[in-house]
Amino acid sequence: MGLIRVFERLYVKVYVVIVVLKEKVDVSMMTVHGDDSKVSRVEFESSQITTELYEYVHEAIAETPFYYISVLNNGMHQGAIPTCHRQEASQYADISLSKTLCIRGSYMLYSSKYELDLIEAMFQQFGVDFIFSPFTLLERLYSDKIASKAQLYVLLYDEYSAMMIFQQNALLFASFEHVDGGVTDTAFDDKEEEAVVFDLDEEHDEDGISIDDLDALDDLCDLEDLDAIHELDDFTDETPDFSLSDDTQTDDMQVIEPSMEDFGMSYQHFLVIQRCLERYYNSDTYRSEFIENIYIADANDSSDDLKRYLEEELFLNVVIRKVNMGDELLALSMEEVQHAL
Amino acid sequence: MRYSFIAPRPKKIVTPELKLVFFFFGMTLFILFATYGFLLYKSHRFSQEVIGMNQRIADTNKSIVMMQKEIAMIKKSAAHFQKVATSNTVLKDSIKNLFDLVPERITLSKAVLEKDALILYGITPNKEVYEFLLQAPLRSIFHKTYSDFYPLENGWYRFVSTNYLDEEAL
Repeated sequence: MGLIRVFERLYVKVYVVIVVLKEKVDVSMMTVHGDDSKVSRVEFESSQITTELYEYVHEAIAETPFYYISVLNNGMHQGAIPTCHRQEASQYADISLSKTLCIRGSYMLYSSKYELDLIEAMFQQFGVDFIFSPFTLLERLYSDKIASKAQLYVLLYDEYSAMMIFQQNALLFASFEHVDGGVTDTAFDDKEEEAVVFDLDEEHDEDGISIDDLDALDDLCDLEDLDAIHELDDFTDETPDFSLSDDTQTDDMQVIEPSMEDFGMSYQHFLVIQRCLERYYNSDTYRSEFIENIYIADANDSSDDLKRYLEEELFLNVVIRKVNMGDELLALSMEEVQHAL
Repeated sequence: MRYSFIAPRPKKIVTPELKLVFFFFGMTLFILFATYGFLLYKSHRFSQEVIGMNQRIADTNKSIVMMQKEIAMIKKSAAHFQKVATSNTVLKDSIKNLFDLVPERITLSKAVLEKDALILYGITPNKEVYEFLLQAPLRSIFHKTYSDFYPLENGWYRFVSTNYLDEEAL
């Protein structure tokens, strides 16, 4: 063991972090030699794992045996459950085919074994050392704030959003969403699409409660608004996610009335957050606490629209913090390596 | 594994490339040490041979000295033998000459040869035979000659002839 430590100091350590996004793959790399470190980033303009990416990573790790490759898990079949007991976990999600991680003995992260295997298979040419959940990153980003009252924490990157509600360090609710309603283009498989449709159907059922809410319909001002709703409903045949979100909103949403073309990423993220909050409040499974504050770790460099939507529509106090996914994952990777040794 | 769904792969310090480098370094070191050891052994053997050779040279020199001494002794002995042989030859010739001097009518009973003297004991029928036939040749050889006669019952004489050579004349 001592010999390995000596060799570790002699060798360069390379940490590689790969984040597969919708239209690109972000690769961040940190080379550590003694007290010196160098960070470099490269974007590959394809969501597929290209030969250039393999060559780039191979070249980086060729000179040292101490390299650690980390991948961010974007699989849609992942989440966090406010218990570490598998028996109790079944009331929150079906984790029979999932791999789980108990965090601080407080809550459990889970991810589909199939999706984890897919990630490992995707990078089998140079292998993967760590697969991190975006929830881990989110908790790490706000580790100094989760000990307070119930607050919503959101990590936004590309078209994904990870949401967690913590109260006094205890997880109350968590959700991992994709703005397209769960359909990812990260070369996983068609199975995810099926799963997404299934999720949408579920949420549609929940939304049915809102549609049936006549008070909400009464709040509609005039016929034009109703026509607009019809138009949106027509559109839902193609993109049910947005219409679903639209339906679930209360009359406050009518103030904005955004068309589908104007829906930018900020608005889509807003819809996702709104839908998750609604699910949190309406579900009997979760211990509901009133959420006043929302902390957003934004890796997308979004406009202020998201903040405005959340403040105006949901009356939340919004604090947005810009984050760099690569840097955060590199730090997490180094921490994990230190712990593994 | 605190936050990762999978555990990191164990890191192998010795990569195949490093193994190759170690192999070649090892081979080079082995060849170097083997060569060094071989040269060390050869040097040791050579030193041993040099010491042996020096010992043999010393032994040979010692035996040469001994042989030279023996040669000197043999030479000395040979010279002594030569001298004795010469002396014996001279003595033999002298005795032969002496007996050639004695006539048939005189009988010698004893002869004493000394370094510079000859003493003869014998019997002669009369003094004249002695004086003419023996004393005369003896006087030509020796510087001093003395004769004493003792008459026997049968009328013959026992005589003692003492002859000397002068050392100064020699």
